This record gives sequence, C-alpha cells and structure tokens, in this order.
Amino acid sequence: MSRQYVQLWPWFNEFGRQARIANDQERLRLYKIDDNAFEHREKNPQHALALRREGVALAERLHEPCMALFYEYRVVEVLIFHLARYEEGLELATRIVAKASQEAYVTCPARARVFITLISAYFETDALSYTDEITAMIETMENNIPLDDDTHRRLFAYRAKLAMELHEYDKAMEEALKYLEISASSAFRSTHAYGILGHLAYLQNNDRQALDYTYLMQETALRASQQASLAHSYGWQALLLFLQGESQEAQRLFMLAVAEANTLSLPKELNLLYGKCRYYDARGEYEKSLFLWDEQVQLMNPKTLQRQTYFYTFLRRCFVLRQMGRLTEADIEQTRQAAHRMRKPDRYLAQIEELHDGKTEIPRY
Amino acid sequence: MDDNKRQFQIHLPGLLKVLAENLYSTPKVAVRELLQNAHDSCVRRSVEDKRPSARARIDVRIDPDAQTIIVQDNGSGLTEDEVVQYLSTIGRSYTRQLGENLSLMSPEVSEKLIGQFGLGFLSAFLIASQVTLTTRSMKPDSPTYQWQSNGDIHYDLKTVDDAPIGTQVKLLVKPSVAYLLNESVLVSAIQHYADFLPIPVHVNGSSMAVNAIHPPWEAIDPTIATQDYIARKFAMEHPLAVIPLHDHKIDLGHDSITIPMRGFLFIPPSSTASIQEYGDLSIYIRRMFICENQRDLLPNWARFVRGVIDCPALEPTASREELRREEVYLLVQQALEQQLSASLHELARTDTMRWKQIVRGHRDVIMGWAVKNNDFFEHIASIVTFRTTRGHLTLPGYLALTDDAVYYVTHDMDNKQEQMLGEGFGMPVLDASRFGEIGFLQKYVDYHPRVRLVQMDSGTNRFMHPVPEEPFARVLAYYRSRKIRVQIMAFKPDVLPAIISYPKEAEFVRDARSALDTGDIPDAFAGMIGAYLSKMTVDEESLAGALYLNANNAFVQALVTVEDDEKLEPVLDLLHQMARLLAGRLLDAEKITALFENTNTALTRLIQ
Repeated sequence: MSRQYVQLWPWFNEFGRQARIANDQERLRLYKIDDNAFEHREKNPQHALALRREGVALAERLHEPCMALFYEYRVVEVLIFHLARYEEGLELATRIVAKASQEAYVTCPARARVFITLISAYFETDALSYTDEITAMIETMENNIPLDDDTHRRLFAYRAKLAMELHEYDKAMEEALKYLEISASSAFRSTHAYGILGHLAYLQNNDRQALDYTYLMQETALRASQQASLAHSYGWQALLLFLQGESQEAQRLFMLAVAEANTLSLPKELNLLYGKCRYYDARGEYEKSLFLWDEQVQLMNPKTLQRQTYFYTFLRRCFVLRQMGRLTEADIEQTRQAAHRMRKPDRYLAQIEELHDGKTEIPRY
Repeated sequence: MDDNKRQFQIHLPGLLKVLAENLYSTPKVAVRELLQNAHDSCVRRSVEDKRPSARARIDVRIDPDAQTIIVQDNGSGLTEDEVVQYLSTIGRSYTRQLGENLSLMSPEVSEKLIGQFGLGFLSAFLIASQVTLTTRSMKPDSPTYQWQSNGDIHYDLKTVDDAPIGTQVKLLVKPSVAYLLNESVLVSAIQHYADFLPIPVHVNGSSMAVNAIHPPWEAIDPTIATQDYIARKFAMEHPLAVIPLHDHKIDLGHDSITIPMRGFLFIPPSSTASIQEYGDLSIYIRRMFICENQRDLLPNWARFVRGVIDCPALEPTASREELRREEVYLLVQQALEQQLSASLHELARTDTMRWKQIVRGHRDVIMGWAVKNNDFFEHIASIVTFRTTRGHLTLPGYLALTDDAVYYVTHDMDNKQEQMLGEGFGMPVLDASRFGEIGFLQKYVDYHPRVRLVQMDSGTNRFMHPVPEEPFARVLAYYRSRKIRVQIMAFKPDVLPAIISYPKEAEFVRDARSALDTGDIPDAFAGMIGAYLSKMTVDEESLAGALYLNANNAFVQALVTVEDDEKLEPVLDLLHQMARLLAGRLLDAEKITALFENTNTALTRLIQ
C-alpha cells in the first residue's frame, strides 16, 4: 500500500488567511495562539499550556472541531515534552486518539499528530514494558494513517529511540541515520536526529563521533532557536571534551550549558539533569551528582504509577552511591520497588542487576 | 618565502552581488546608507573645517526621466587618497577611521558618527546599475574627483570641473526598483530611516526638510512631542502611560557602568493575548533607525508595553538591521527592566486609577505573565477583575461575598446548572474559562493560604445534603424502574426541582467505547485505548448521569401527594428531561430526538 500524505501547515495557514480576509478576529486569534504558545514552550511552558488550552476552548466555542483536535494534540505535547506531566499527557493522548478515530475527523490534517502523541506518551512513561505495542503503533501509522511530513520523520525517531532503549545500537544507528536523512530540510528535526546520533555514539564508546554529532546538534539548534537542545548540545560536548582530556574547554562549555539551561523554565528532569550528572560523574564529583538525583527524588510525585523517570532516578542514584561506597540494600530495594510499578518490570529489574556486576565505573547511559 | 603559501583570489563582482543582495533585507536600505555617509561627512566638516560657509544639509533629487537619484551633501568631501582607500577598498570603513581620528580631538563628535563596517556604500548597488560619485574635499585647493563604477571589478577615477565642497552620489536606478523614483516612496524611506538625523534632508529642492530632525525626547516640551509622535507613528491617540527613558547606571558590584539611552516606553489602551501583544521596541543608534518590532530587549512580562529607544551603546550587525547580542545588550535589557519596573511601581503608588486601567486593558497578557513573575503578581493580584455571576469583580471584592472560597467553572458560563447551585447558596460563581485564569487563581491561593478553590463543574453534589428517601419512595421507585439513577437531596436554590450530574469521564468513555465498537480505531491503537478504558471505573448506568431531586422544591414536595400514576408518571418524565436539558451535556442529535419523543409522550398523556 502506498503511503498517503496530508499537509498540516498549509491547512493551518489557510485557516489563518481566511480569518484575516474575513476580518474574523476570533478565528485569527485561534490561528495565532499556536505561534505564541510555541514561542513560550521552553521559557514559560505553563503559559504555553494555558494558551493551548485556550485554543481548545476557543475552537470548541467557534465550532471548529479539527482546530480543537489540533490544539488538544498541542496540549499533549507541552504536557509531555515541556512540563514532564506524563500521566496527564497519556490520559489526554488516549482521549484524543479515540476522538480522532471517529468518522468526523478522518479528513482532519491534525489526525496523524494526534496518533503519534499516544506513542510519545507510552514511550515516555513505560517504554520497556510497551515495546511491542509501540512498535505495532508505529507500523500502523506507517501503513494505515495518512501522515504529514513531520509525523513521518518522527516515526523514524521513535524506531531509533526504541532500539536504543533495547540496547540494539546498530539498528538504532541505522534508523537514526534515516531520520537524519529525511529531516534534512528541517533544522528542528535535524537537531533531534543529531542528538540521538550523538547519544548513540557515546553509548558505543565512539566519543569522537559523538562530539561531531553533538557539535552539529548545536549548529542546528541555534538555527532553529531550540534553547533546551542547545543547552543539551553544550552539555554533551562538555562531557565528551572532558573525556578526551580537554578539561578547560569542557568546563567552558559546561558553564555555557548551565547558563543556557538556567534561562529556561523547564522541569529539572528535562533541563540538563542528565547532562549535568554525566559531567559530574565523569569528573568524579559524585557529591554534586548525588545532590541532583536526591533533589529529583524530592521533586517526583510518588503517586504517579507509570513513570520510568521515577525508576531511572533511583537507578542512577544507586550507581553514584556505589561509586561513593555508600550503596545500601535499602537504596536497591527502593529502586526495585520503582521497577515493580512498571507494567512489565523484568527489563527494568535486569538493569538493577548491573549494580552487582563488579565493575568500578558507572555504565554509560 | 614559503612556496606553499598562496593568496585568496577574490571574485569582486560575485562578492559585490552577495554583499549587496544578501546582506540587506530590502533595497531601501541603500537610502539609509547613503544618508548616513552624507551625515558623517557633514559631521566631519563641522569639526575639521575652521571656516564652514553654510549650514549642513543633505539634498536628494529624483529625475524619473533619466532614472536617477542624486544624494548630495555639503560635508567634508573626499581627497583622491580617501576615495581610493575607503570607497574602493571593501571592508575599510571611512567613518570608523574618522571616528578614531576624531576621538582624541573631539570625542563627543566622534560619538555622533554612525558608519563603521565599510560595507554600506556597496548597498548603492542594490538599487543602482551605475554609481557616479563626484566629490571635492574641504582641504584647500582640492580638485574635484569623479569616481564611477558599474559594480564590477573596475572603477574609473578622474578629475572634473570644480564642484562645491561636498559629495554628490548619482545612482542610475535599476528597473527592478524604479518605484524609488516615486517621490512619496522615497520620502517615506527617508523618514523611516533618518527621521531623527540631526541634519535636514531636502527632497527635490523643497525648502522644508522631510525629516523631523529632532526626536520627541529632545523637544522643548517632550511630553507633548512624545504624545504627538505616538499618535502619528503608532496611530494611538491616548496611551495609558508614557515612560521617558534616561541614562541608566548599573551596579556591577565591584564597579558601575552607565548605559546611555534616550527614548520612551508607552502603554497602549489595550491588548489581547496572542492576537495583539506588544513588548516591542523601535531601535535607533545615534539617531539612525536600526529596526522595529524588537521583542527581546523588554522583559517577557512587558507584553503590554511598546517604545522607542536610542542607545549608542547597542551594537548593530554588519547589515545594521539587527542588534548584536553581546554583553552590552544584556545590560540594556537590565536597564530597561529596571526603569520600567520603577516607573510602574511609582504609577501604582501615585495614580491608582491609571494603574487599574492598565491592568484591566491588558488583562490577558498581564495575567499570563504575572503567574510567572512573583513581584509583578503582587502588584496586580488585587486589581485584575473576573467575570462572575454578579458582574466583574476583583478577587478581594469577590472573596468579600464568599466564605474565603472561590467557586469557579472552567467552561463558559452560559446555561449551566452549576451557576444556579452556587447562586442557590448565595455564592457568586466565577468564570475561569479564559486564558491563564486557573493558573492565576492557583497562584492567588499560594499567596493567600486561607482561600480555597472550589471547582463547580467537576462534581455538583458538594452543594447537596441527603434527606430521608421514604417520603419520596414512589417517585424514586418510578425512576429506578426505568433504570435511571436517582437520589433525593436538599439543595439551593429552592426553585430548582432537579439536576443531572454526569461523571467526569462520561463523554470520553462514551466516545471511546463507541469508536471501539464501530472498529474506527486502528488495531494497534485500539488495544491501548481498550486497556486504558478497562482501568476506568465508569459503568454504563453512571454514564447516563444521576438525577438529583430537590427536596426543598415545592413542586417536588407536591409530587408526593399525587396518587394517580397516570398523572404522576408523565410529570416525572418531563422533570427528568428538563434536568437533562438544563445540564446540556451528552446530548447528540439521536438523544435529543429521544428526549423530545419522551417529552411529547408525557405531554400527550397529560392532556388526554
């Protein structure tokens, strides 16, 4: 079956154009909310969320169901990617997928975006338990749902990231390179692709290549005004340069990363937490790293059931404690409990076993 | 010499093309560059020429027939060496060199010079296929030189008959920009870029300069001049406030630095989040226009403010259409935020009415940013008004009517039973359906811990009190026999006989189940949705909603006395359908049809 494509932005922009021609101020406002919210997503994600929710309400009031669906998908995005409110994101993603499946929305150009939010939500909450389901959803989207360009690109990203989660690095690299290839015309997507490639190269101990990728990530992030990604790219480069013995330049880039991240209002776990901890670990500054993981533990909401970040925070903390010679059975048990919160704990529990592998280094993550 | 050392080759026409066509965003920039060169030349003469014979001026002449524009100044002119060094060497800036020379003998004058990159003159080729420059230096006995170029690698330089001291640039205008030969277009471009240039610019021999020359903040009465300027340039007759800008001293801890700045900020009458936000500045550097709609210099929360700033400390990029984001940029940001904050604080203290007008006129924008900025929030928290069932009220005004609780709904308050329930208890209901309102309320509670938020549309039974069922047993039995969930409760207002409450998830569950049943959801996704639904505890009966009869209502009380089932049943059906209509939810076309069928049947039974 040949793939069908839809055009999201031409539809969206035509909506704005018609509103302008008709001097329809309310529809024009509905159109402009997206730009405005996008602008605030990293510096004031709460503001972006409020704007997008207003978009949903306004679209409903104006009887624009496809626009309402579009803004609901945008709400999920900000919940997951900029506020780390994964459970809320999952709940809304589920709702809007059910809604978008109805006959009335078959021609809505935002439909593919809606479907991919469910993949994003499961990927961010419990990826290792849902690998089969995520793979099936990706295949379904690829084969049965008309896609817009960007959603099509993101499917490659998820294939790459899923393979990375499963430690299938060659496959992940292959998918990430495909992702990069089809993202050539989008600086925004290229940044993401370079980020994945850099991370993969790092996991495979190919630091030189990782440095190249993360430098390219920096370049495209600058072009696309992606400040969070820019901070991440500096953080990666700092780590990789340090590992190559260039500690002075590494420190400069690290400070740059922190300064860049400090201008954002993203939750800590999305705002260079991993970048900082990797760097401190590499320098042997375990107290600093432990402080950040402990802080994260305080910030997390234990009532949320399906959060892999909850598990990984405890796991990473354990590795730091092991390096410091302070790891206790209570810490491991806490991590084990976090693993048991996941739908299929086995793959998570297996990672805890690495704490007993007798190695003296923190494994790359 | 090292044999391996090679030299770059420059393809001048290509370079000219790239610089001229890609460096600037619009061909009109050429007008600015030529005026700026003329200005700098006049400044130089004012310093170096001990016996200036005339007041500095710039003349622009258009000849549509010859397709030419001439820009002429009576400034210092150029010697042969200067023509070769600065006009024909790309990247060497005549003005920068001049600035360095003047900085010792006349530093205050050197600061007035504008150019610095040595690229500006190239922009002439944006609009001209041939440029002829005729110049005579102010230096004694200088001949007049004529330099001519078609924008390729060659240029001609020769002496010609004596001309007055100064420089004349003649542009043979390209057909693609022939619109510049229209006087009004050219005048508009001159005013856009050089309105505040301190040297008069005359077009086609007019005795009146086309540029304003003096910025409003240098007028004899800056207040009136600024108001006029805002009305003329921004088409706003009555700004809510105007804040003059002044030099700003910034404390660096170990030292301090003074940022020179002039201009003003102003607050338009109103804004609307997303559609008409401001926060923009027009930027001038040494009175020359650089850019407008600059949105990063003002603080994020100031999206209700606009302004004009002239700040020589700011650094333009090579095209002079953008600003370089260097340390001084951050200092100017800081200076602007401090001056704006101080002025708004003062305004809030001394002119409360005006401050309220500002907060109400820019409500959406201000509320959104107040949630993020504590200091700002504290200043506006008690002034912002909300729509309530008792009209527009501030939060302190609203809380004075309630028991320290905010009863709010998150959807439009059009025809909702929650309003009636709230009002029934004598509580006004607040509409928090618009942008940023919930976040604002939550922040208000953070600051005032005694205040509670009560969401009215998330469950209605918090306003009800159970009563014994027994007196209403027949009524309840009838509904239950028809699989309608029903309870008898006491609630206000008494006039309300019945309401229906639906579980929060009802719409979603109904839609999702329907989509799953009809096979609309693609398989891989259906599994995930099904799994999610199975975790929810909403059963079929609860989806139909729960009917609450009001024991306080006289009509409901009267139902108990009706003994004839033939009379009672249609009335109960009507009561149920009325409650469904009042709730206004989960009624698609099919259900509305069924509702009216039921109503018709009941009414028919009553009249038979």
